[in-house]
Amino acid sequence: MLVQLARWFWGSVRFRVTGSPERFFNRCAREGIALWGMESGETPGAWIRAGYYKQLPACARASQCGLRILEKRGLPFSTMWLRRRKGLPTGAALGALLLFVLSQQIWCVQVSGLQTIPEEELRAACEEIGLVPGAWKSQVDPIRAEQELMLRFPNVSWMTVNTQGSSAYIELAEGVQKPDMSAFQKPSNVKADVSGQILLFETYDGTALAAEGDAVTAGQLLISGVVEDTFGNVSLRHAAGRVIASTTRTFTASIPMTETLSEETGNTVSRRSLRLFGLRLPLTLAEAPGEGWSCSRTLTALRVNGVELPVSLFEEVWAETASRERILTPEEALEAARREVERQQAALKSLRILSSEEKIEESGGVLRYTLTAKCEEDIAREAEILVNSPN
Amino acid sequence: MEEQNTQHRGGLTLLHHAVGGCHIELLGNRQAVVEGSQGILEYGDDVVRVRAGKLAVRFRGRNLKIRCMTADSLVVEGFLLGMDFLT
Repeated sequence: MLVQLARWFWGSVRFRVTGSPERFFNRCAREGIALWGMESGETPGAWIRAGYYKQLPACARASQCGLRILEKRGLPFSTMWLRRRKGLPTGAALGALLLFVLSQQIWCVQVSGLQTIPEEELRAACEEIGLVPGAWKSQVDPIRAEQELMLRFPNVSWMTVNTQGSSAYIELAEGVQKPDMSAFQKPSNVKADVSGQILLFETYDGTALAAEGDAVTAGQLLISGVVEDTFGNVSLRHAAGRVIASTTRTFTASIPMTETLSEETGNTVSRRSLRLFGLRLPLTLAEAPGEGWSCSRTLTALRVNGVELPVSLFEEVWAETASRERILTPEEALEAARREVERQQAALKSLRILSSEEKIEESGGVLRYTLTAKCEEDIAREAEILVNSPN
Repeated sequence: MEEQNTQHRGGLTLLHHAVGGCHIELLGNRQAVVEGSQGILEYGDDVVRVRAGKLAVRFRGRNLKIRCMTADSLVVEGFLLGMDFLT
């Protein structure tokens, strides 16, 4: 079997001998040329390794015989057509080499389990520690990468980095941040945030200094953090409570009657680049236009069976913009002013508007909108008691 | 290897001097291994005649073939019917 395999690999030639085959075979044997499958009879011949055939004519001349090739077999002859197409074996060899080299690299980094941490931030951290597409697999230590990423993201409770094939997988679980309890331990008072009349007064801790039905002004002390017990001892507490009061609030918004619009003129410049193993290969030669143009970027990664490949197309589309001034109609300006006031109201917690009155003025190209509202809201605002301790 | 061959050839030379012939091994009537041969004199389907020093050895049979051959040995295969020593 091994002999046959060697004969196939090196190639073999079957030839016919005319003349005296005995003399020719003897001559070959004396010259050390190995023959096999020697045939006798009317068409005597033998097999020889293809590379040694060129030695036979000398033996044939010496033994006054003639030779004629009958058959050629083996790898050198079956791949003879490739000699005219040198690109094919070269390409196959280069392809095999490329496959070998690429299989030693990380092709993609896949992340799962992110909730609040931005993926870009995690990928930037991965890049800093060398876990990027194009990195050599032998240089990536998953355990070390895991530890370094855990140090960079302290709110991650659990993380694992695995390499499988040519992909690196990062799986993590984010933890719940511990609330800051130090603010609840500092001594503080509760003061009125705005002026109003108290409708509901609940004291959770501290000494109540106001009562339901009282009218209070902004900044007035409602609950004191200084507590005196029945023995006359004084202690500082973190005063807390809920004080619902009837208040009057005024919200104002000034909207210019002209607005500057930025509109696209229709001229666009597209810049594409191919990202291959982290390398950016520009496909277009256009430069970034700069000011007066807005840009939108898209990154399209090539995926096969859900696995991201290290080949992606990055496209920037720059659109030329021109500024234009537009005069708002009174309705549009009023709508914008109402939206602004609603935004101010949304910023206030536990605000309930009972009734409101609008006032609209337009002067000097500006619409002034004023909303006076009667509200019910929690006016309790904690104010820390600053204690200068000699210790 | 070369040394072994030299020793082997030396051994054959001694044998040759001792018995005046070559070393022939028969594997049943299917194969004959001839060591110390000096070439073939006749090669046919029925007869293979080999020169071995002062003697000539003739193998008779059917479908005789020389499987392989070197300068001082050869292997004859086929259905051997007889072997003659000719002077």
